[in-house]
Amino acid sequence: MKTTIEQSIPDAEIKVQEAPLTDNEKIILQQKLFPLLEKQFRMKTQGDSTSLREEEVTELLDSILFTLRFEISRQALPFRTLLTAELAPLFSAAQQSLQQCLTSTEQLYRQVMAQVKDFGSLSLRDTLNGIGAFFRRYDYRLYAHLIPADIDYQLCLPVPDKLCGVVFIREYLLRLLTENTLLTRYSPVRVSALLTRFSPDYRELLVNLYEPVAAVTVGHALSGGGETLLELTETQSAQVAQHLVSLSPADAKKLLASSAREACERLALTDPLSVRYLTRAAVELYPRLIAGPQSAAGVFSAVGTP
Amino acid sequence: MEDSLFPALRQAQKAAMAETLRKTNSLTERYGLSLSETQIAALTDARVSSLLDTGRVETGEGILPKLIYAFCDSPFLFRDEYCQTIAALQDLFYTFRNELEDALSDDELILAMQRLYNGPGQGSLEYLENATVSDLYRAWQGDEEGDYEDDD
Repeated sequence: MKTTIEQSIPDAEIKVQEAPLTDNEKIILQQKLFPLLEKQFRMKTQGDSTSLREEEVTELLDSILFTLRFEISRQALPFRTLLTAELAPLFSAAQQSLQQCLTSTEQLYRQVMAQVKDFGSLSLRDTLNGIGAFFRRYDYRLYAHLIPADIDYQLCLPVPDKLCGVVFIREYLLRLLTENTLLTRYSPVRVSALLTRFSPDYRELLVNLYEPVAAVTVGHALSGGGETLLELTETQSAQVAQHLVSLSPADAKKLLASSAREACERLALTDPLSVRYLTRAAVELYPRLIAGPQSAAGVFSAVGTP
Repeated sequence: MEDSLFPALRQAQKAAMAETLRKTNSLTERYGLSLSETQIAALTDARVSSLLDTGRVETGEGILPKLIYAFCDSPFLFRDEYCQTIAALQDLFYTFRNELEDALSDDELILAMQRLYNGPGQGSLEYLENATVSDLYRAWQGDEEGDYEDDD
């Protein structure tokens, strides 16, 4: 199964969306969900109660739907499969798949803990510790869609809101590792200096570490190279912005994307995820770079900026 | 999905609930109590309304058979009030469940209600309606009727 990071940050995104269920199909699906809901209900109450509050049953139902969606997505089946498939065995298979996903995500977490440099960022440190608690609290049997973890640290390219449960955590960790891959291409001293220029209090604030580094990386590529310096002057920044403003928005975004790819080559960032991630981050710089004469100096945390 | 699922679930359970209620007559008849088809239909409708009013969802046989079996031998339950009393007890049961935040199990709550109704309440639904969460806890914990009365 492709991860969401691969699906949502492709070079050319092509999505085929299913039409929403008709009213009749919704009724069919509801009837098929009743037995599953009753089973989950019994597991939740352990036979102590025949009734629950609607909010609690809603959580159980959301968990069932998330679990089934996870499995049909994993098997690359259309959502309408649920209308005809035997849901009980599909649900059991889905729970096994979720359990495996949980195990592999925990391994991924250990990899993140070993590799990610937090450059003193308290929010990143706290978030990573919070994700550790997720693996103790997560209940894939009854509340598979929930994310029992405090996640304050903001990624440069946030995980889509539609992702839930362990799928969200997996995606978050993959993106964090991808961001870290770029950061570790540079001297930690230069990264720290750049982050301090970007925001002197970055350690205490909810500042994403990747974004300023990615911006300067792309800025260097647009200026013809020298990425490892991780330091652009105000003059260089202004020149980059002027050049982008002189182009049509579409051409400017193409130039940003191609510059990001060139930077990746020079930095020996060969893994496709890193390339896609930096390319997407570069394109998202465009509105900020053309916002005003001084904006480029801010975006690139340029040296000499008052 | 749940917006339409819960009403559909409640409606789908009606037929099975009616059959379950019919079966309770075989036990309650020995106490001179039974439900007619009209009363069974009224009770299943009342169950749906009660669940809707209290924002609860029920599965399986539901609470009505348990309430009937628990209260049918009450000396305060009479034939002409049987159906209305069971419907009222059902309303109270779901209300108490919410007030207790599901801290007691179904059986524990029914035991508490039974003790209050047959004990200090002397068959008064109004007394039961006014019972507080701590009244219910004390009633559940009391081994014998009246144990909890002295605590007030």
